[in-house]
Formats: sequence, structure tokens, C-alpha cells
Amino acid sequence: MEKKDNLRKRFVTYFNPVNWQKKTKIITTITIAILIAAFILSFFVPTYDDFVTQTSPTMQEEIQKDKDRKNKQVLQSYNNLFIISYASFSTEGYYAEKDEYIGFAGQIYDASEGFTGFVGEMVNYTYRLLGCGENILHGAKLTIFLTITSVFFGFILSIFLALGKMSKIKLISKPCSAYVFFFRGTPLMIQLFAIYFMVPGIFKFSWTALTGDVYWGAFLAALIAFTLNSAAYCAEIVRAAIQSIDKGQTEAAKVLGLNYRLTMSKIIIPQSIKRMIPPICNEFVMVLKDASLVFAISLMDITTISKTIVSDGSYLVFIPALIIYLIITAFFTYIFNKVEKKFSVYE
Amino acid sequence: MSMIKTENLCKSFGSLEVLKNCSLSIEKGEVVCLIGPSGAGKSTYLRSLNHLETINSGKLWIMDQLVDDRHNGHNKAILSPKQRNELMLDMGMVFQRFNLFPHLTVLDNLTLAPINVKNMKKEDAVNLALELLQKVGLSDKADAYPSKLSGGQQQRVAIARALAMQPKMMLFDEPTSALDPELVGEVLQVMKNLADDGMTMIVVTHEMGFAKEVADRVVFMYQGEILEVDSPDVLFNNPKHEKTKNFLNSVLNI
Repeated sequence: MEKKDNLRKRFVTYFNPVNWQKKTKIITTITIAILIAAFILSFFVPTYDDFVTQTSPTMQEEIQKDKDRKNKQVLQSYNNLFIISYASFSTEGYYAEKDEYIGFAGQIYDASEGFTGFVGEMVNYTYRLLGCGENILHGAKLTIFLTITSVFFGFILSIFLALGKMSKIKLISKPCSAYVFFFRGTPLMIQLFAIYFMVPGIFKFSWTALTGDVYWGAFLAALIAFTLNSAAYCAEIVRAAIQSIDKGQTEAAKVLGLNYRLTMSKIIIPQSIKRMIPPICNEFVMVLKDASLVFAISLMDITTISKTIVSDGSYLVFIPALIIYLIITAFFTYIFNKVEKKFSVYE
Repeated sequence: MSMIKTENLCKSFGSLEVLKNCSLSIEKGEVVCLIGPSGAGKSTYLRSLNHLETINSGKLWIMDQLVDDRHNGHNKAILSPKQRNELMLDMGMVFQRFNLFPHLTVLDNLTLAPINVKNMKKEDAVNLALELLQKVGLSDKADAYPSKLSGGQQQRVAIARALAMQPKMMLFDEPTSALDPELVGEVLQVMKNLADDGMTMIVVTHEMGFAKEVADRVVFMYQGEILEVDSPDVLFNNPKHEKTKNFLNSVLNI
């Protein structure tokens, strides 16, 4: 325990700017300044016409012709990254041309190869990952929302499961154990399929009719599957935390005349919550990543969107996808650490 | 009226017999000290009085009411769980390892049970708690967390917590064994004051000085049996049993 605390102390000292060397401070300040400057400059996007003047003469010609054509042959996208491609089929064969430019701070750079090419692709994928669908940050929003709700409800359910599992009455403890055994012993993917496809089939209803919307129907099914699954994992965490509380606490409560409900709610659970936080954080991060499984029922989360983009042949899309996951994980780990500190006032 | 009366109390953990036919009766206002070598069953006897351990056979009366009448674990006593719990509330208990609730302040430790179990009003409970804290000399620690207190202070808070339920008798399970030697005195002083106030007390202890000075009767236990019950003068100066002599020699002549 002490060793762990020392490690954390060193970690905290290391990341506290007050203790940094002058050199580190300067480098960090400059990096942050550059990032802020880049962010501001990225708003100065060259106009569409500026991009067009940069393209090759044949492409310009095709763009001109395309205005009058019924069947458009020029494909284009326009944001910070300007991608324009032309494809035509004729008796002479297949002809294709693709031009890519990146506009930054009012300047236009060739993005077909080299470093600017790589940067351009990253910008494009990130934009498409986060801005896909009718919402901005659509995928990330879905993932975060699904994770928070399912772990929250799963945790509440798990307290009852854990207490049930520890019950001396076999009629209560056996079903609770069976529940935990079942949901920990089968793949989450199949549980998701079972709830999305099988349950409506057996009970003759449909998720879409229930919520009035295809998307929310799938979301509700996913939410239920994830809640039930994480409840099983959290139940073990809660049980371990409750059993780690000194037996003397229960005895003291009993001697004071507190009944089971009061002992649990006033004495044991408040004390065990602090011990639950690190493993619950772990479980949270697991669910966050497992949430990518919803692509199996066509919910548009980060994974599903990157999967659709990769089908264009843009395999580098997984780099921004991974980075978005990392950022979300880092953010929630930070929050959980704060919460843990808050709960340790009395120690 | 006897506060506690036991008749042929027996308790075993598996094949190990911890209590063998323990019979004892404790009157109102009496201070009884249980002494004996470790493993003699002193703590188990005390814990079986307030049902922290369930006895296998024997009879137990609390305030002249038959609570336990067991044969091979089966209870014949006719007493509703509610009545039984009410009787149990008349017994306060202090543990060797304090067992304060670490997530609550000292004041909350004292008021939790009166408010939730006795349905006392919050102001009344707080007033009572502050009064008791003054009695144990810790009025300035009301808002501290137990972890910020010394062992002796924690044990005094534990005594106050037990008293907050206004019990008719107090059970002490080796209250000074987990303390540093210099902190033992303050806890014993609180217990002495309590005895002077006329509280019925049963104390499992290794503090022979305390037993000599405060106890009305001293009980010597050896291997699960009550060997000798006598006033401290007689038991410490003229013990009848060889075992008692050996024990007192080993404890007193270090």
C-alpha cells in the first residue's frame, strides 16, 4: 500500500508544473501555444474557388464540363481537406484522376503525398469520424452515453446481486450466483444478439415499435445488454469490497441494535464504496471498449463509422479512431481518480 | 433481580469445546471481572451473552427473561424476535479493537444508533452524545474522524457510543489489550467512573490491578470452565484451585 502511495506521489510530483525544470516548462508552453495557434489558424480555410485554381488543367476542364452534365463525373469533398477526383469510362478505357489539397491558414498545400498528405488524411478521417450522421461528435457521444448509463444502472443492480449472492437463503443466493455465472460465462456479443433478435422473437414485440425509432430501438437493446452484463461483473466487485470490510464493523452494528438493512446502508456499503472505485473504473474502461460491439447491430458509434470509412480503402482511419478512444479513457480515468481521493477523507 | 443468569452454557466450534457448563448469575450494579489464560473461553462467554455467538446448549436469562433455552442448538425459549432485540439493546458492548465506524465522525458514531434504532430526535441524540463525550473527556473531538484519534481516545469514544444507547449493563471484551501501555490508564479511569455510577459491568480483562480495585466479584476461567468465583480479596490472596494459583503467579510475578 505504502509503495503504491509513493509511486502515486512521484507521479503527481512529476506532472505538477511547479516542480518542473525550466527547460520542460518552456517546451510545454511552446507546444501548447503552437497547438492553440494551429487550432485558430485552422478556421481560415481557403475558398472552394481557390482550391479549384490549384488543380491540374484537365481536372479544371472536367469541373467546368461537370456543371452542365446530368451524370456528375467529378467527386469532391470540401473542408480543411479538399479532395477532388474524376473518373470516366469511355471506349478508350477507364480514366481516373485524383487531386488532394490541404488548406491551412489561408494557404493551400499539396496533400497527395508526403507529410502534408498524412496530415490531410488524419484531418479528413477525424472529421468524418466525429461529424458523421446528423450529429457532430455522433459516434463518440453514443459510446460515452452508452457506457455511462449501462455502468451506472449495472452498478445499482449489482449491489442487490451481491447482497443476494451473500444471502444465507438459498432461494435468493442460488439465482444470483447463476445470473453472475451466466453473464460472465458467455460472450457479450451473443448476449447482445440474443437481446436484440431473440427476445423480441420470443415475446412477440419489436424494438423499433417499442421506441418508435429504429435507431433508439437498437440503442435500448444495447443498453439493456450492456447493463445486464456489467451488473454481473460489478456484482463480484461489490461482493469482494463488502467482504473486505472488517467483521468487527458488523458486530459493532449488531450490538448497537442496527438491523441488516441499516447495517448495510449506513455502515458497510459507505465504507466499501471507496474500495470499489478502482475496480469499477477498470470495469468502466472495459465497457467503454466493449461498446464498440454495437457495430454488430448497426448502431453508429466510433467503430462502426471507422468501419464504413475503411471500406473506401482508407485504412489509416483507425489511427484517429484509437486516439479518440484513448482521449475518452484518459478523461474518465482522471475523473475516477478525483472521486477516489474525495472518498478517502477519513483515512 | 439478576441482570444476567446463565445455566450450563455450552459452546463448541466443531469438535473444540470452548464453553463447558458455564453457570453464573450477575446482580444489578455488580462489576464482575473475567480473568484467565488465553483460550479459556472468556471472550466467547461474553459474546454468547449478546448473541454474537450462538450457544449450543444451556439457558440464558436477561433481566429475568428466558432468552435462550437450547438443546443441541434448538431454541425452546418463547420470545418474539422483537422482544429479544429489545432485551439485547439493554446490553452495551465495547470491543478489543474499538470497531468504531471509520467513515463517520465521532459525533455521528454516537448518534447513529439512537436516531435510527431508538427513533430519538436528532437534537436529543446530539445533546446526549455531547454529554457522554464530556463524561469520557473528549468534548473537543466531536467532529474528528476516528482515524485521527489515539487508541485510548478511540476506546473512550467506543465506550461513549455504547452508553449512547442508554444500556442497563455493559460488556467489555478486553478493552485495554490493543492499547499502548501509556494509554491504558485513561480508559480504565473512564470504566472506574462508570462503575462508581452504579452500572452493571462484565469485564474480560488482563488488568489485574483493575480487577482487584473495582470488581465486586472475580471469575476465573480455565479451558472453558468457570473454576472459581469469589471476591477479589479472596481470589487474589487465597485462591482455592491449583490452576488459579499458577495463573496468578505467572501474571503477577513478572
